[in-house]
Amino acid sequence: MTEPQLIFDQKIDLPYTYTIGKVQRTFLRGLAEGKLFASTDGARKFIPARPFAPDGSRLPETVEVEARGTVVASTRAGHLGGKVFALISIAGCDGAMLHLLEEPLEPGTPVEAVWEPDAEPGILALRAFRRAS
Amino acid sequence: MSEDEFLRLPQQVTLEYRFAAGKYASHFFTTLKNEGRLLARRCPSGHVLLPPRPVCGLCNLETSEWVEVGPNASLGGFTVVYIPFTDPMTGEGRPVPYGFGLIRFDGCDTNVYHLIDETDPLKLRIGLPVEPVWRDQADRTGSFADIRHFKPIYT
Amino acid sequence: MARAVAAVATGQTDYAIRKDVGIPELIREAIDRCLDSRDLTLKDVDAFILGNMEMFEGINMVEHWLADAIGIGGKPLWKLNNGGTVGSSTAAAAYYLASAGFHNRILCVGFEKQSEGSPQSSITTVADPIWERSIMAGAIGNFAAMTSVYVNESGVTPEQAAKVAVKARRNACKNPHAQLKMPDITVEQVLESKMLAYPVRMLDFCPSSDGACAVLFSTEDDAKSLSPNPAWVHAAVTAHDQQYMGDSPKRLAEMRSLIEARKRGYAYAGIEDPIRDIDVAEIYEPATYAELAMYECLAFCEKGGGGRHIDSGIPEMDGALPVNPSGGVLSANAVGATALARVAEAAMQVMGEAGEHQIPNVKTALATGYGGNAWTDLLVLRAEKP
Repeated sequence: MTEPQLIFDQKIDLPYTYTIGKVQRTFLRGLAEGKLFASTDGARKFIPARPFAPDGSRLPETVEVEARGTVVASTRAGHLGGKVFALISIAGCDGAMLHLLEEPLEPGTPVEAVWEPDAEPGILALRAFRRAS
Repeated sequence: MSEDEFLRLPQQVTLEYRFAAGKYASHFFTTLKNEGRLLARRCPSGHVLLPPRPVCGLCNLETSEWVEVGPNASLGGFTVVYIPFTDPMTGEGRPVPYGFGLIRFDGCDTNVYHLIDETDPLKLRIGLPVEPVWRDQADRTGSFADIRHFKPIYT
Repeated sequence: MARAVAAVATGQTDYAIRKDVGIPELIREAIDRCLDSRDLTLKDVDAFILGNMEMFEGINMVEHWLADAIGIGGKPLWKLNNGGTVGSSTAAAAYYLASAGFHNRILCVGFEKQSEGSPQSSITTVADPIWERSIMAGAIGNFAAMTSVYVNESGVTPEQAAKVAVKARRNACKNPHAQLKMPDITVEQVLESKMLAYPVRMLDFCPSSDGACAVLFSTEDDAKSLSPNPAWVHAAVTAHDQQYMGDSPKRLAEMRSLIEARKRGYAYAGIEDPIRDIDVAEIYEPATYAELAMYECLAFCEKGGGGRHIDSGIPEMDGALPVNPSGGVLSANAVGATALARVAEAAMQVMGEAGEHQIPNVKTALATGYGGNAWTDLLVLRAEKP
């Protein structure tokens, strides 16, 4: 058959509106106010704030923590315009937070948060992390 | 902001795909677009199937030949839809009400869904003869939408 | 040697639009209610089976994202994804895994948070991308077109369909979890409700809910130690149908997958006369007309007799074979949870834990799931161990 083999190009738009639970509300609103909140069971603290710990136990409360930490790992995404993604461990907390760095930094580098002024609640209300002064 | 105020975050996910149609669909849609003919597949038991496909699901035999069906057809099922529908692929809203139903081309054993040019459900019935209304050749893209809708043939 | 398997505990959230919780908290509500009812914790669960309709929330591989909320902790988990049938499929899968000896206590979880997406847009992705997507009318349009064939074949009337709507929403008043409770609903109200797609009206159709359901299964003596009256699985069958939506226009009038599943399921469970042998049925009816057609496909009545069956009063709560004393799908529909809720409600009936909507003396309960292109799951639960 010398017929053209057809390709169907399709684009589908799916609009979602995610409902945010209690501890994550505090976390995302906190970012908009320049504050970092962890979720906690009184003993352990987790960043990003989430309602359940890896062992399935509840993390019902939130507590403010310093927005400082350490680079665990990072990568520069050339295919995304050179953005630097990193896993950042926040001091005193379990979990590592996926976020952005202002520039590539070695694992172990101390970092601090840079806030987005006048931001809506969301992960990018924290603009990125930079080398701690 | 009160602590008890709920929080909802909108996020639009756009999915883009390039589907390979395969040889059956390619042959069908090329013929539909260029010649305005509808080709179905017949299996050795005699089932005539649209969309055309390699295996007949009724008897699990490989289909063996192309056979032209239609263009006239009859209604296998029908409805008139009153609720708005936004096509997520084009973002366009379909004007309501619109007729919609199962179309059985003459000579074919299966039905395909399509639009019906009628908004009074009481005029529609199973078995009503209908004919396809084609888009102009220049507007055809090689899909079932090359048929604009089906027009009832009232006697 | 196959082991006997039973449902031993159930938990459901209230079905509603939930702005106060995200998905993780929602499903944990159902899990906690299930486990708390038997003083169990996540440590007591051996394996998990999760189901939802992923496009509705747009989270791919949602089991990873929900790992902590479910409390997997490194244990086995299976994720199923087959539309409306998924909930009952998790139950069937639990039965097969437990019966074969791979796990003892299996927690099935089904959920959906439909308020977060656009179900009609998501349902477009169900359609074949080459053949069907360019002409779609959403779930209701497609369903209504099938209904016209059923109406043509059976002669059921809008009044008979409306009676199903009335039964469902009145029954729902006795189910604390149901979303649509309408104690004063009448046939006239249904017939005057907004026409969505002819002949299906607003009150003929199921709502769109947020919700989650959890059912714990276990085996042999362990089941008896967990529940005073386990709901033993006597049949768990699934059946699927042809590929393109227009392939069988009689998809409602003669739902091939439901008929096939019924024949096999009844044979496994030794059911010969459904009205006599089944004490209660929780079936997945997306709309009133579907319930009438399902009466026929389940052999509760003769072919074409769905309308006469609702007229007879047999499916009412005080009838010979009550159908959906919980209010059914017509009263609450969080798709990923809904079919599992049918299993949960059937199990509750056998266990004697259905509260205000308990049917007396239930020895045998039937649960069905429906979804996608008319797929079917069918389970038979009994008070007596197989």
